[in-house]
Amino acid sequence: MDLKRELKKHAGLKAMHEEAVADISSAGTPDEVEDARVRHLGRKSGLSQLLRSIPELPDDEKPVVGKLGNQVRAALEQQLADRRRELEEGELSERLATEQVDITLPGQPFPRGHLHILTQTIWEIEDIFAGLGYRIAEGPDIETDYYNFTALNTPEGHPARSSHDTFFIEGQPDVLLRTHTSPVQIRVMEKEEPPVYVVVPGRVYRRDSDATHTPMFHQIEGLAVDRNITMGDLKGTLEMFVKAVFGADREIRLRPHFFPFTEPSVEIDVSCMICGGSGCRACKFIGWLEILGAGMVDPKVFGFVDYDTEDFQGFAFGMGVERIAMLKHGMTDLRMFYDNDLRLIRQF
Amino acid sequence: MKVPFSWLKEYVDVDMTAAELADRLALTGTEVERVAAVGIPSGDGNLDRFVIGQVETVAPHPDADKLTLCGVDVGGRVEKIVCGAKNFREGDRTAVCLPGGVLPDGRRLEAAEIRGVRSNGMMCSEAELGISSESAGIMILPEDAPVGERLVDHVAVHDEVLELEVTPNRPDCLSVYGVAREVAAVTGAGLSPEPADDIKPEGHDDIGSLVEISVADPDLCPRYGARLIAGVKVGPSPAWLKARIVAAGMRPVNNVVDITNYVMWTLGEPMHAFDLAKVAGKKLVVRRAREGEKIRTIDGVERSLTPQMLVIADGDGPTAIAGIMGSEASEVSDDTSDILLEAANFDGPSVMATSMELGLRSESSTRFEKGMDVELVPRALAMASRLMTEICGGRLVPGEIDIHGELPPANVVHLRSSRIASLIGVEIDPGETAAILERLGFTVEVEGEGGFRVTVPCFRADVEREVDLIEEVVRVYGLDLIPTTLPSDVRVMGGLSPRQAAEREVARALAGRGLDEVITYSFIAPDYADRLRLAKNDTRRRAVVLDNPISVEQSVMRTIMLPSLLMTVARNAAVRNTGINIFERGVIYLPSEGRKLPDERRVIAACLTDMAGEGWISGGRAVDFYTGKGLVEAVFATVNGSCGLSRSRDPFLHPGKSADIMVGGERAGYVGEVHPLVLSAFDLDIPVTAFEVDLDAIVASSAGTVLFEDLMTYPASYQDLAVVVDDKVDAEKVLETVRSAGAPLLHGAEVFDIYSGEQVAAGSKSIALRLEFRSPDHTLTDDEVNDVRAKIVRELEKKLKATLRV
Repeated sequence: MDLKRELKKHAGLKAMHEEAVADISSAGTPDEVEDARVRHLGRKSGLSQLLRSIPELPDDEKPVVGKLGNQVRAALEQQLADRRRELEEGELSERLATEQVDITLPGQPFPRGHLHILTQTIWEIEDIFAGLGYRIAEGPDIETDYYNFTALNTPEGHPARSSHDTFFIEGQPDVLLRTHTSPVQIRVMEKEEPPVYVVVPGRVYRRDSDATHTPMFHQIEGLAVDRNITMGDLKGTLEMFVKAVFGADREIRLRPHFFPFTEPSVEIDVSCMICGGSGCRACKFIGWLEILGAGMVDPKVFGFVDYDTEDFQGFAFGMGVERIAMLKHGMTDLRMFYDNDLRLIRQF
Repeated sequence: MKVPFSWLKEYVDVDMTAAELADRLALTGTEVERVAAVGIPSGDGNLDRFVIGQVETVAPHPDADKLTLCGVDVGGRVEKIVCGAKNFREGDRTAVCLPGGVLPDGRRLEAAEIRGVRSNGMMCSEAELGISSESAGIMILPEDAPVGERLVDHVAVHDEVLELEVTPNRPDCLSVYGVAREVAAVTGAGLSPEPADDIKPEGHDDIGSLVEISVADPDLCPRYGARLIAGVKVGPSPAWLKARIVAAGMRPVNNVVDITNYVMWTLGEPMHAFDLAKVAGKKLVVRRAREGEKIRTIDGVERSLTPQMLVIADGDGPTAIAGIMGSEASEVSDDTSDILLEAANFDGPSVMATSMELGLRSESSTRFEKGMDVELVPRALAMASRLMTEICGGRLVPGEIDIHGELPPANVVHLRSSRIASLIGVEIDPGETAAILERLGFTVEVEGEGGFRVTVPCFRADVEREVDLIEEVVRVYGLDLIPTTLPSDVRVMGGLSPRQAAEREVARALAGRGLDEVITYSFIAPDYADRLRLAKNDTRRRAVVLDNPISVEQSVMRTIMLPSLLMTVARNAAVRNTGINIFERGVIYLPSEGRKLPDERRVIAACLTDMAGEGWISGGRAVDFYTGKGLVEAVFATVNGSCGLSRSRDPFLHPGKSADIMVGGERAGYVGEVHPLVLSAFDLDIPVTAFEVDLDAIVASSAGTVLFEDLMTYPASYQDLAVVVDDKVDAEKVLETVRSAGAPLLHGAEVFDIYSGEQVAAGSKSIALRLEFRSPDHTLTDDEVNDVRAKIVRELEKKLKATLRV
C-alpha cells in the first residue's frame, strides 16, 4: 500500500485518513455516507482546510502535502462511492426479496388461433413441391364437362359423368361441380407450353355422403410435362414427397391401375406408418396404405391441348388431402373436418 | 368378381396359395379386395372328417319312429349313424361328417347317443354343407363317387374365394378363365385351353325350321347366336355345380339356369335360356321396344319400356330385356323340355342406359355395359351345349343361328422398345417384352430393330395404342423394378404467386390474432337470402343452383360467406365452446350474365364473438364494430395495403355499426355487427361482429415495394390537441380538416381519446389528437410548429365549428 507508507511522512494527514476511513466504514445508510462525506471531504473538513493552507506551508513541505493530500481525497471518494453502492444494493435486494410471485400461475395469454388442419396439410404439400420447382395453379370449382371429363379422356356415357355421381348445375347440363382437380391440368396446358410443373390444390365435389364420403373434399393434383420425363421420375418424385410428409423411413410401392387420363396408370401405397409395414388394423394387415393415384399423361390428353406427344411426355398424380391428414394424424372420421368443432380445430 | 380358387386352378397351374396369388395380382393391376374362405372350415384337418360314404343298411330306430339307424361305409369300415332324413335308399352315396367335424356354421359334431343309440357321424344335407339352402334331405352323390375319399376333393365344399376389383377397362377379367389367363401371364404358370369344346348335334331336324330369329336393330346387337337343346329334364344341379354357383356368390336355381350362369362365370359371356314352348309364334326379333310396351321380368316386377330400350320380342311382344333380364313369360320351369339358348353381344352404352333407367342391374348387364368380346358368342354356346346335354339330358338340335354383320378386324399396334425406355425410364429386354405380351394373349412379330408388330386379341379391346402395350409390358415386368429418379432438367421456378403468398399471410395474421380457421361447404340452403334479410333485388339472391343436390341444405352455391360462418358459430355455441372467433378462406359464386361459368371470387370472412380471452389476467375486450375494423385493418396491413370505409346499407348488419370496405373506389366487402334479427334467424343469442373481404382487392391495395423515408436525421415534434365538435361530426372529418390545414409540416395525426359527458356540452364530444410535425430537411423550431398548430385550430373552428378544449 503506497498510500499507507507515504502517510508515515505526515502524521496529520495520516490521522485524518484513518478517522475518515473508520467513519465511512461504519456508515449504515446512504444518508450516513453523505454525512461522512461532508465531514471529511466538505469545505469545512480538516483535509480541505489543510489543502487550502498549502501556499502558507514551507516550500519543502508544499509538494509533499499537496500530493499526499490529493491522494487521500481520491481514496476517500472511492471509498464513499463503494460504500454508497453497497448500501443501495443491499436495500434493493431486501425489497426484491419481498416481491416474489407465483411462477406456477399461467402466463399472460396471447391469443393464438389455429389454421384448419386441412390448410396446414395443403400448405405442407404445396411447399414440398414448390421446393422441387413446382408452381401452385388454381382453377374454378364450377366447371364445364369439357374440362372435367372430355379433355381428360373420359368418354360420354362413363358412369362418373352420370348425375348419380356428379353435381350438375340447374339449366346448364354441360356445367358441373368439378369432381377432381384434374381439369386445371387442361387449363394450364392450354395456356402454357412445356415445361410445365404445377401442383393444384382445391375443393372438389362428388355426390356421395356417408361415413367415408363427404360431398365436398379436397384434392391436390400434380402435373409435370417436359421433354424427358419418365415413369422413374414419377416414382422418384412421389417417393420424395412421401418421405417428406410421412417420414424418411417410409417406402412406396406402385400398383398398376386404370385412370382414363393416364397410361400407364398406377396407384401408390405408402408403407404403413402405424405398424411400419408388419400389418395392423389401420392397413388392414397388408402393411401398405393407398394414398395416391398417378400415371404418365395419356397421349389423348395431350391431343386435347395440342402438345406434340413425340416431343413431350409427363406425369400426373392426385391425392385426397383428407386422407393424407387422417393418416398423418390418426383421424378416423372424414366428416369431422367439416363439423368445424373448435375442440378439433384447436388441436392442431 | 368372385373367383373360387379351386375353379381357377382348373385352368391355370398356379403354384401359390390364394393369399400369395392375391399379393401378386395386386402388384400387377388386379386388385384383390379379400380372400374369403367359404364352406367347411379348413383348419386342423377338418376337411378329412368329411368323406364320401355309402349307405349299406337302413333299419328303423328301436325307440323313435321318425329316425332310422343306418350302417354307412365310410371307407374300409362301416359306422352306425342315426338319421332323420328319408330321401335315400340302401346303396346311395352321400356326404358323411365324422365325429369331430366342424360344419360351415361353426357347429362341431360329436359322436352322441340319440334315443339310446350311439351315432358315429352324420349324413349331411346340402344346407349343412353350405352348398345350397336344400335341407329337406341328405345330399345324394353320383353312383361313381369314390367311397371313403375326402368329399372336398370331389365337391367344392371348401374353397377360398378371391374377390377381385376388376377395373372398367378389363371386362375380360369378369370371367374365371379370363382371370386364369391373367394369372398365367403374371406368374408364368401354365394355362389350359378354354373349356369351350363343342359337341356334335343329334337328330335330323334343324333349328332353322323350329324357330325363326331375326335382328331388327343390329346397331344395338352386333351379334346374336342361338341353339336349341331338345328334351331336357329340368331339376336340381349336381352338387359340384351348386357348390361353384354358391362359391361365386350366386344362388342355384335349376340345372338349366345354373349352367347359363356357370358359362357366364367361366367365359364371361352372359347367356339366357328361353323355354321354347313359351316363345309365342316360335319366333324372336331383336328390336327396340315400342312406346307403351311392358314386360314382367323374372323378379316379378312389371316394367314399362321405352323406344330406346332393346328387347327380344316374340309373337306376343317383349319376352326379354336384351342383356339385362328375361321375362316370367318365357322363363324355364320344371316342365320345360326344349331350351332355346341365347348368347349374344349387345351394345354396352345401350345396356347401361336401359339398366339405369329401369333401376335394374344384373350380372349380365354389368358385363355387357363394359363391352364384351363378340368372339365369345359361339364359344359360350358350345360350352353350354355340352353341359346341358351332359347334365340335363337332351340333345343338341342340328343347326345354329349366328346373326352378325362384319366382325371387327383384329387391331394391330406397333411397339418400339426405345419408346418403353424413354417413357418408363428402364430398358427391358425385347425378348422379355415379347414373352410378356404373348402370355397375355397378344400375337407378336418382330419388326425391325427392337420393334414389334403386335396383334391385339379381341378380348382386349382396351389396347389400342403403343402406350397401352407399354403399360401391359411394364405392369407384368414389375413396377418395383423401375428406378427412382427426379426430372433432371427443370428450367422453371417454383413457388407461390403474390396472391397465393398474400392469402397465406392474411390467414396467418388472423390466426396469429386468435382466430380459428374453419372450412365449410361451398353449397348452402337457399333460404340464406331470407335469413340475411336481403332485398328482393339484391344481386346476392341470384345464386348458382345445383340440379341434383343431395339435400336442400346443400343445394345452392353461396354468394356470401356469412351464413356458413354464422351456422358454424351457432354449432360451436351449442356445444358450449368458448372464445368463438373464426375465419374462412373460401369462394363465392356470382352468376355472370352471358358467360357459361360464374364469377368465382376468393374471399376471406370472419365472425367474432369474444376476444376478451380467458384466464386470470383480464385485459382483452369483448367484440364490437371496432374489433372487426381493427382486424380488417390488420388484414390489409399484412400486404402493406389499406382500405377505406363508408357507411354500409347491408341489411344483415347493424345499420349504425357497419361499413362497406372500399378499395380503389370499389366495394370490396363489409365489416360490422350482425343485425339482431339475423342473429335470431341463425339461432344465435350472442352478439357477432363479421367481416368479409375480397382477396384480390386486398392484394390490389398493396402499396408495393416500400421506399425508405428518413425519419431519424431530423427529429419530429409532437403536440396534443383536444377539440369539441358536434356529436354528428365523424372523426375522419376532423382528421381530414387537420391534415389539409397542417400540410406540409404535419406528418401524422392520430385520435387518442374520445370523450362526451359532463365536461363538454350536451350533443357534442371531445376528440383528442396527437399531432406529429416534421420536416425532411431541418429540425422544426417551436415557432414553426406553433404557426401550423394555430392554422389547424383556425380551420377546425371555421369548418367544423370546433372549439379548443382547454
